[in-house]
Amino acid sequence: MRHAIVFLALTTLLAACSPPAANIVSPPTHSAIDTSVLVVDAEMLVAETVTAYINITNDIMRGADPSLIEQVTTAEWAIEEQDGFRTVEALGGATPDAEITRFEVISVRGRHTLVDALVAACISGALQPMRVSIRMLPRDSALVIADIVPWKDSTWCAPLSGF
Amino acid sequence: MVRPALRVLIAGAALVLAPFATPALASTCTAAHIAAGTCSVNGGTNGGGVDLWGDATSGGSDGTDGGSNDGPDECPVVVNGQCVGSSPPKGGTGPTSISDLESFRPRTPVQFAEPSGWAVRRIPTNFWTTAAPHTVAGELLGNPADVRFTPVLFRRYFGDGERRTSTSRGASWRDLGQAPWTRTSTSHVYESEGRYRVRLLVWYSAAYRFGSQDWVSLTGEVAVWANQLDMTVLSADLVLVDRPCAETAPGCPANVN
Repeated sequence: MRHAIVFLALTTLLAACSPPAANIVSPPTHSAIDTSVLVVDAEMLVAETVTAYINITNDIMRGADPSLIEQVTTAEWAIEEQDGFRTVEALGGATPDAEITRFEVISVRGRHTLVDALVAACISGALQPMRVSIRMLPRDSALVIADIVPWKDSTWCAPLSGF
Repeated sequence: MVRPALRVLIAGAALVLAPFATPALASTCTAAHIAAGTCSVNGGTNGGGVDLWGDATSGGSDGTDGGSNDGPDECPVVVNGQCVGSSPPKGGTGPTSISDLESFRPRTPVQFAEPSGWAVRRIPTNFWTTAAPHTVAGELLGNPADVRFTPVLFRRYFGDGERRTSTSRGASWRDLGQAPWTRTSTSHVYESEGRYRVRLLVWYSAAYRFGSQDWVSLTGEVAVWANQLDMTVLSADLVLVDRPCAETAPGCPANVN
């Protein structure tokens, strides 16, 4: 009972201290705020790039033009991608879709639109999810996949205990 | 465009960074490789640098080649002992795919290295192949026919865990007009002494024609292994001599017993 009274009093006090809506000040637009916005945008860009890459990969494995992958990769990495699609074709049958089962941005660095990024991700398909590092480079105000390195140890991709 | 689940993960990215160090063993794979279950992390070299060809597939599988260590697990379809990089024939009357050309095989490509058979640690070794477009005559559907094979892709396994896929077949330093020991688009630098087996897989596209009719391109490619090259990688020390080695200065090859 005593706790309820204290809580009520605190709530009333805080409500009384709240400034009127008309006095709310807009967030400052100095560089610190700009930087944080840029970082968030860059991370969104990274996520969109990875998602687009996976979606296009799946589209190609279902029969789309393999050259579409060049939209989301560097020219050099596209050669490796073509090899992957050849392998899928050679195997025949239905290859399951690639899926991202875990994803974390490790680093995003750069200035303005010149950003490169490193991502840890788990990609699954026919077998258990595999941990990879994905490196991205800027191209035309966007990011493209430049390298994907698989890890021998994919325990990071195992389902988290307790969930 | 971003999936909701992905957005949540991104939001937490600044707070929860995954433990991150360099990958245990360098290799490359694409999402398609992983989806197909063929992504391999090369075993690479061990100790003295002997090529192990030890592949581990994603998800801790024990491999898909039955445990044999006779080569990289990169060829899901093998016909007559050769790696075929396309689907098995799907039936039908006319050739539509390269795998329908059962009696036609491209010539075995030949690869070279310079220096031949040996290399120096941390100095480029140049590799190239003479694989080139060529025509093979034979019989197709009971009629005389020609099949033209054109190399389109080259993948070289350097034996130290590294591999490179390229659309260039490479050339000798001389043909490139480059000085020896310089980097080329197909050169490789070994970091450790040892013995390495270099393998080359060449993909060919194909077209066929009956008599003097127009060429008809086929879908798919056929992959053929080239000869193997055994390389011994040595280390080298720089030695200053007081005159050109051609003059048999002390320490020069002509003066060493």
